[in-house]
Amino acid sequence: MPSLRELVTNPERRAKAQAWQAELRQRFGPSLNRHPAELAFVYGVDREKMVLGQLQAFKNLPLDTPERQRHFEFWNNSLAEGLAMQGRFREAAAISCSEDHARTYTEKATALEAFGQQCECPTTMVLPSARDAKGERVPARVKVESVFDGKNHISLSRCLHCAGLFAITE
Amino acid sequence: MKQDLGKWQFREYISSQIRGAGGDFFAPGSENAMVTGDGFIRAFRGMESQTGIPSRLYFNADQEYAGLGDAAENASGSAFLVRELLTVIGNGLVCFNGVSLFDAVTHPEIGTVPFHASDILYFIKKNPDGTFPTGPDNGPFQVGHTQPSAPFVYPHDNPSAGQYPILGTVAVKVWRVSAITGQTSLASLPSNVLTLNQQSVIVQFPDADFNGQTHWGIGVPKIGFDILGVFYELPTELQGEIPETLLTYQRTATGASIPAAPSNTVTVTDGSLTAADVGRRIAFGGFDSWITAVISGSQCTVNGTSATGASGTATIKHAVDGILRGLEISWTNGALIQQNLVPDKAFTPNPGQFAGSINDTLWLDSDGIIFVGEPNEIGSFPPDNAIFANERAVQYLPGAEGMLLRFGKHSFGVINYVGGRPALEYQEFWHDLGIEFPQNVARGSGGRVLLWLGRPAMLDGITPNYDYGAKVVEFVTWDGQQTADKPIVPGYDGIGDYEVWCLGQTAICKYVPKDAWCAPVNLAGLVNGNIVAALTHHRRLYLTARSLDGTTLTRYQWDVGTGSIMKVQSSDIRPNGYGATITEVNTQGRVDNLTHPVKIELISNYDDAAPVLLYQGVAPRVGIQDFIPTEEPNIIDSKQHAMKLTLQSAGGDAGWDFVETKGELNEVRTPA
Repeated sequence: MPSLRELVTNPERRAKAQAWQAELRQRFGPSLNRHPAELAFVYGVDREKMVLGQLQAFKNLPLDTPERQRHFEFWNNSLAEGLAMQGRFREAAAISCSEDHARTYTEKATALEAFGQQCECPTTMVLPSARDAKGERVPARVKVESVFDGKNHISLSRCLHCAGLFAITE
Repeated sequence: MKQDLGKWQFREYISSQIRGAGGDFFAPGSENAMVTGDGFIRAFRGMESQTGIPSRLYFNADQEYAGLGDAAENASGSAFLVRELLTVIGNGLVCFNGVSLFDAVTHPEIGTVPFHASDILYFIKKNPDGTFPTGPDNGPFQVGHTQPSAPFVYPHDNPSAGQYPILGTVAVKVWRVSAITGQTSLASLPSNVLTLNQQSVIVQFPDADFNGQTHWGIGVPKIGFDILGVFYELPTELQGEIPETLLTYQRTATGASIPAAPSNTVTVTDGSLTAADVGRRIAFGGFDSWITAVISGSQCTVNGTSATGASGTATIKHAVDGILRGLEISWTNGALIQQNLVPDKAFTPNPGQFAGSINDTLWLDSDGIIFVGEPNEIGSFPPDNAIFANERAVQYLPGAEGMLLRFGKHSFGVINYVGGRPALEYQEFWHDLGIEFPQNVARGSGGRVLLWLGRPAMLDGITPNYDYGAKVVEFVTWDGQQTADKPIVPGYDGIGDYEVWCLGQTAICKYVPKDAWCAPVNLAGLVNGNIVAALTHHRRLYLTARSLDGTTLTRYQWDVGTGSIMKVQSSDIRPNGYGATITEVNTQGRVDNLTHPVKIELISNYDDAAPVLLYQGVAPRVGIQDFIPTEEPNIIDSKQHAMKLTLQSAGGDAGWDFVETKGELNEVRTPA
């Protein structure tokens, strides 16, 4: 009786298995491609669930030591991040113990709440160019992030003129 | 004339043989009799309750063991150790070495607010003391990192010492890096484009994540290509990887003050200013600016003035030219030669049910789609790097020679490491046959695979060997009795070399060196509930029982304890077919106590329900001895007879060696 190793490495068997896998990959492969924002959303949903469980510890716990405070902030920041990954920036800003993160979440929340609205700045800008004396015309909006809220893909773009952040359809 | 009628040694338990055929085995009616050698049987020693939190599924990990599930929640999934990280996926309470994972700082009581596995792959970092507490330093963290926002870049007019002045267009990408795992995120979208004229670049980083990120990676194109170029990792000597702590540097300086405009000189009384503070932001008393030059330890100039003046304790934060979370970088095209491309395969994994590692590669099974990780990376599962199985898995089992066995409800296949992309290969070997519950498969003696396929089987190569359990008829009824809360659980006792099969409160085991089954072990009274899990750890077998009301799990060590009541019923003798008169019984056995009586009974003419009691009493001494009935039997016209021997051990060596019967054969046939 051949060993499992001998069977698995048998060239004929391998060739058959590889052909079958190639066919399956061709058939199903494209459906596996997920947008990074969708992957983040999935992570966010799970993070929220996991951290809410951990945060039960703080229900009746005094934050009377720096270490407890540090742990409390970690779990809250982690929860806020999970919410942000789902596009729930306003809730994330309210929960986050990090001023910097809260500021960022607030800016994104404001942009999402004003979905579709943009500044009046020109949509292009001219950069000096080594090739063209008139300069090079480039878009004045830079896409900085994609957000998936469970239903919609949304682009967050920043205006290079006014530094405003805007949410538009991906 | 008296002659030998029967003589039995007890070499194995057989229940699938017809009665009356004789043989050196023990038959149905036997209980708790363990074969330990060639014709040497002993009483089952019992079950010893263990400390620690029991689980519903066990995994050997890092010389200890991990577990999933508790009394309330059945478990499925994987727990394994990779790079000192306990990595889990599936469902159920996560334990390591019998301790749940919890935040000891916030909740010092063991077992409160513990960590449960989910369908996202998490890891917890190991502490130097070998524990896995949860919290900011250890996690649980989700493997991989989400893609960060694009950075923003600014030109820096006078490149600092050591920086290259750049001429041309550029853009920058950044990505997250964890020093815990070495894992990166996908690179961000590109930053805004800059056209530089003998300038360097200030990169303003987005916020770090709370998922174990410690560093940032930076990627740049060749100068002149900006967002249209291929992005390469900026060499580390050009600050291509920087710690997050650099960007979050912050301190206070006491006694800060600035007079009313037009002065732009700030004074601090603690004398803590240094040249490194140039570019950093300084804020106090409503004034906020950045330091343009340090005059002395107590004085600096800032990029602004205060209309009314201000004073207070200053907060000094890392910045470059006042740009918070900024970093000055520069490069030459030559510096990018042979640099890696920025991370483009670090996709976080999909939700899944099982995961593990083979050689340098992680894998994750998501409903039959097996995502294969990038070599040496913990959270990079590019979607094009997948292999496919025909159905969802029920359980995985590490195989010999680096192979991984995958069991479904209707399939069996093998994952094999082949290197390349994808580094793993899947071959399916069976269809339409599989296991029902994750506990239905285990490793046996010498690493062979034991699995329940409607009856006990052992893998010979890829072929299930059903002869394995053919001598034990009790197994025939087991399949219909198993449920998720009462699964059939194989396990392996490496100390006694027993392969143990459990259902409810019954265990039937095979003594592997002699390929001999032992009598069913009756666990009623020895365990609280039904057996739901097995773990072989340090060669010892541990079984976990779940109470019948579903509220408690208890873990026991197999075949260790205070003994059991051992019953041995011999095979049947049919002397010459005409019957006989039995007049003498001799037995030899071993006892380990003077407390419990020994009982010798004789079954005649298949009347199992009413055996003839020949001897009952406490042994006169411990150890090996003959047991001869005080009154010789006189059982006439016995067409068939068998012996039933009972003793109760105290956890030591106690058993029956042999029994023999003598008498006179009938000369003629008599009516039954």
